[in-house]
Amino acid sequence: MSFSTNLPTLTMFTSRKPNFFARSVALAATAAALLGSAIAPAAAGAQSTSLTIGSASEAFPMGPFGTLPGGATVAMGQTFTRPYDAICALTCYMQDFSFWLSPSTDHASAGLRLKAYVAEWDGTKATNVLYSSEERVGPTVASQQFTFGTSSLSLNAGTQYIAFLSIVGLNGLPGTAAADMDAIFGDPDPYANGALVYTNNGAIIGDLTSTDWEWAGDTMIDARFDATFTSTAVPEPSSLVLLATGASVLLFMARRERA
Amino acid sequence: MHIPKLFTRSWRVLPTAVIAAMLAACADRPMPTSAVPEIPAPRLDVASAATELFFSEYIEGSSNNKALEIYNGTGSAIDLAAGQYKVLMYNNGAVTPNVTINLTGTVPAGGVFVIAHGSANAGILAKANQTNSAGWFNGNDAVSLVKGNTTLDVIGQIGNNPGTEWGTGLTSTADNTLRRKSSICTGDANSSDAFNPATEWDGFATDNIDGLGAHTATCGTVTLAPAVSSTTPTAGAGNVAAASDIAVTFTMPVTVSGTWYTISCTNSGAHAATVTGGTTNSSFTLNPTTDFAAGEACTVTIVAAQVVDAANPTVAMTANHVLNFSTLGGNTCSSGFTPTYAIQGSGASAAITGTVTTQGVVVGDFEGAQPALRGFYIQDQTGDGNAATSDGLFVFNNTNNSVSLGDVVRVTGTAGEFQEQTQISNVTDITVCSSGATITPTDVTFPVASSTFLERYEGMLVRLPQSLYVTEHFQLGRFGQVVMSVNARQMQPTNVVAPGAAAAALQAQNNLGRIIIDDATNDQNPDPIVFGRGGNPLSASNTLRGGDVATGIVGIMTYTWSGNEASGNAYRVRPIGAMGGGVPNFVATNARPMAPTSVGGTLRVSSFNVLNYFNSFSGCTYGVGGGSTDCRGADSQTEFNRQVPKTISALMGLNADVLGIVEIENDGYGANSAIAHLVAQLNAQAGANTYAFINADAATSQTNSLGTDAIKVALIYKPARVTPVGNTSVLNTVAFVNGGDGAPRNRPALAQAFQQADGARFIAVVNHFKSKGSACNAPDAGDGQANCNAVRVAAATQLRNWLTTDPTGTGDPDVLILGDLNAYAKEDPIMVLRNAGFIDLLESRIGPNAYSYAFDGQWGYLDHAMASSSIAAQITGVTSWHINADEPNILDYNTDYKSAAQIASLTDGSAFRSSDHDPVLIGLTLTSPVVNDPSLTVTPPASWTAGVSASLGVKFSSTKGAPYTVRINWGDSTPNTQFVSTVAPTAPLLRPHTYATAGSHTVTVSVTDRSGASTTQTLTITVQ
Repeated sequence: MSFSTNLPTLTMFTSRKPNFFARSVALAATAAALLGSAIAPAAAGAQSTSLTIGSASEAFPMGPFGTLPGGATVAMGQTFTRPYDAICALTCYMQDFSFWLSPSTDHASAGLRLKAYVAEWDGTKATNVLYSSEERVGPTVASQQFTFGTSSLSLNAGTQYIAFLSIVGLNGLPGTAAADMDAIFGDPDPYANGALVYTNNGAIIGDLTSTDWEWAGDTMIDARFDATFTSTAVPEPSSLVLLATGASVLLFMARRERA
Repeated sequence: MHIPKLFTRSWRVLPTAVIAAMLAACADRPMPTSAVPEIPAPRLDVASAATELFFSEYIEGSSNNKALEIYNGTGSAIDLAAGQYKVLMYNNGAVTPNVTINLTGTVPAGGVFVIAHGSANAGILAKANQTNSAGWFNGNDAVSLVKGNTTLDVIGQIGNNPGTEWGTGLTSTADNTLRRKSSICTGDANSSDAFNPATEWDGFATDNIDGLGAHTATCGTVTLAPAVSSTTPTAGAGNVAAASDIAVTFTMPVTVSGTWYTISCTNSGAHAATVTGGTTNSSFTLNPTTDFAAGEACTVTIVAAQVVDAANPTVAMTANHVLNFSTLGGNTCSSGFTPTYAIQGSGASAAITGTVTTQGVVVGDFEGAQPALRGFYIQDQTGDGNAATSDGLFVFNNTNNSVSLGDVVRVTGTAGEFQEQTQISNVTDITVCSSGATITPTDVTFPVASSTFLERYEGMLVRLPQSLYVTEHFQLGRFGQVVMSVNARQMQPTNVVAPGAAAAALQAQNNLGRIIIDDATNDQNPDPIVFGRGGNPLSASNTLRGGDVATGIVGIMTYTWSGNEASGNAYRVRPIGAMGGGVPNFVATNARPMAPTSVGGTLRVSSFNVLNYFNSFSGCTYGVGGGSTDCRGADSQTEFNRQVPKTISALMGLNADVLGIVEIENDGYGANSAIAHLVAQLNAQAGANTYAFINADAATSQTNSLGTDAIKVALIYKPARVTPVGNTSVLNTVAFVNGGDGAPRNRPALAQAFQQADGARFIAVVNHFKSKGSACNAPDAGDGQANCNAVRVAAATQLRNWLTTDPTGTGDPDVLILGDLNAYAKEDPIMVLRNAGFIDLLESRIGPNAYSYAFDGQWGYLDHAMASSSIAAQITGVTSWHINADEPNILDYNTDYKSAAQIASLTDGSAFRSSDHDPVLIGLTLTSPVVNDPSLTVTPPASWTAGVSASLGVKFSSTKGAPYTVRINWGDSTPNTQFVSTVAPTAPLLRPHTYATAGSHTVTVSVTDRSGASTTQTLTITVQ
């Protein structure tokens, strides 16, 4: 049986956005204003690569993600590894990632809130949470993009990671509020190094790292996902403030040289 | 002018309406300008008498002031029900009737029959012979009078809507009264021709009812033949002087000729006479040439063929007139008497009333104090040879014992009717003239020709040569009577034919094919009850079952009650005390089934209405915590101790793995509840923990989930054989329970899925719909379905809809609808379920004569087993275990109205008469296990319309779990709808779609579970 006439797209490309990687440029500009032009080249030189699974036209809804009287999915995300390309060949920093959510077809969606996380993935559950986002409000329109900046999260080679959304630990959620995540069917698999995973059990983040997730994924379904990686760390505004001290500058330069 | 004579008819009963009609008709006719005394004026004599009924008045007044008058100009009374007459109403140009009213009653010759709307004004209702409260016609609606399938008369034009009315002014069908012109003699049988009321009708103002209740027509009466209007001596006179003349007066001047009279006496023989009055006159006197002898019986016969209308010599008397009298003197037994048949006459009432002397052979001796009948039946020794008149009658002799069977007795007393039976009362003399006479009983066979046919045998010794079948023994215990029927026991009409006309026809047929056989007395709760099998009294071990046979019963055809209004006045053959009679030999044709007929299979499912199993004898409530109500079951521990063994015997005999119980006390599920008690008693016999019950309240987290009636349904099962799976589900919505009425009527339904060890499953749904016993909001429609049909139809509809929602959550398609639906096989509620695809197992496996219940001596099944199509093929056998309906109710556990000896002798611990209903038992070999994993239920919308969005419901689950990938191919080349669910939904997920164009489309829905297993369903839908 043929699931889809349109093969899902996977785009992993290395872009050399010479000297003006958008975020970097913005950051550089900020840094220059604060500190002077001598700092700018440090960031502007970072090369980035993107991991993009699927597109809007291929996406289908998967859910319910949220909170329902009869139970629903409390955490849902995509497992991945750092890209196997030249940019991430030595060091690799995750700068941001995106999921797309829609209000549920079958349930009320108002009142849904969520947080995003990046953690290591041991094959059945998340471990060692590396990143957690601020709280966000759920989708109000179909296929609404949710992007989270991860501030040069350093990723190791050979480790599988997970980026996911969850409602656990959030107070004041209504009894009914659900969203669907844009997902991508694949045959062949659009992304061989990870899959969409979810769990319907868990009340706090600790549950997600101590208990096997309900669905650890297969090769057929991935989340519609987009992430950006760089070979070098990119300072954030808050980091740039730290650059005001010479020690920070030295530290930063030292790390850069190691890369 | 001789007008008054025209209306002096010899007929005993002349309806005033006929007189009025004749008077009016005459007034319309040109009268002779001069009258010639010797030649009487022409009499009313219309050639074209009406041959059928037709409408004579139409009232379409304000509000519900609506009525129809039907005129009978045929000259003979017409029984409307027997003729299947009905009125049909066609609204707004409809071609099929919106209202059908089956007419019941009799339209007298020359009379009318008024059917009125039930909410018409008092003036109309005062004239109504029948009412009906459906939505009646307006001025633009056609109305027809139909006999069977033949249209007799149509007002309006069927299939044509004139907008407001036919006709104009007062002579129109809206807001007017129409009266048929008196010249109209026949209805307008053409339903499709143009209709102009002015052609045949006169119009009157709104709500004019002046003419309602009578009709004038210049046709429709019959030619008046001359007849004898009076004689001297009068009929049946005694003590007539031997020298008396005989005076005869006719209803009109007649011309006599030839041998127009004969006079014959028992001793003096034939008499010639001198006639005064000539040959043409109204009155004649016969002076016998020789006087009568003393104390003899004489008969004068006026020969019809020799007496003609003086004005119209072609019209002769229609029948001979016979005058009986007896003369004065002589000894008692040799003097004249009035024969019994003369007293009986040919009508329903005594032809001769007042003081009479009669004689006959004692054919039935029921003398003695009450509860004896206090008298005896005599029958004329030779009879009159007229099959239409009875030769016997009853002599009321109070507490005296004067005669013996075979005595020829002379009786003097007052002839008349007592409770509609012809009898001699106030007896002044009973003389036994001789003894040892015999009378040959007259054979009576069934079915009889009419409901009044047996009158010709009233008081006579009869024999019933046919094999007759016990069809009712409901009053065997109370009155000592059974009802027997010809050919077989009688089926409840709506069990075998459609409600309405067909059921009415079968009911009429049943009524003519049955007769009460009664014991000798009017004792209530007799001890012993003499009618048991083999001529022996009834007992728990010597029963009398429905269908048992007796042949050649000899007895007296009495018309009596049996001691109480509940028995009713009716024709009853009483064999005990009759010449050549005695207790009938009831042959055990219908053997007791000691075990249910084998149903095969590996799983036994049953349902049983246990007739109020209450382990409380006081303090009962409408459900847990409800208001007080009667304890409907055993009255005491003593009675309960008699009920329990019978119930348990039945349940042990059924040996069901799953058993639906109907009519158990509604008192929760605690240790002292009736259901806990029943299961404990059952386990005491079957072994500990053999049976368990479904606690519907706990499973649904409700109190009184099965309603707040005094009784409820229940499910018990063998845990070692099956395991309840899925949701225990109850249907207790207002829509179901009230069934459209203002108060609860149906008991909530209970559904439970059960699974065998091999994984095979089925769903049992136990029901108890509203009974026919008491009224609901909508009145009995009179179509044979009795009270509350609409409530049961609503229940069946709600049940059907509920079952499509997968109430147990198992998705299993194998459903058995069980329980007491209080509807017979051909009734509307059963058709609702059949039309939804459920198979009536009793009909398909047993046949149309299946039964589980008897009412009014008619048999059918209220206790159903209806199977979804998928489970039908897994059923190995079905039976109704006839332990109850066939058995007399007096054999049940009750101690009421039983003597101490009867309390011991009439009830035992057997299953027989443990209830009033027979249990249903179904054998199953379930196909194992359900292959649909994941399960998938696709629910299309009620309809699809091109260009309009509608939603498909999709529900799924799998033992393997989520995620579920769902794909819907709409079959119209639009993109598939695809989604993945991380949970099994609790309710169908709705996915909208809009079809661009009408036509047929194939929708394919697939669900793939976590394991990759898929289930696909395809349905073809039609877009309007």
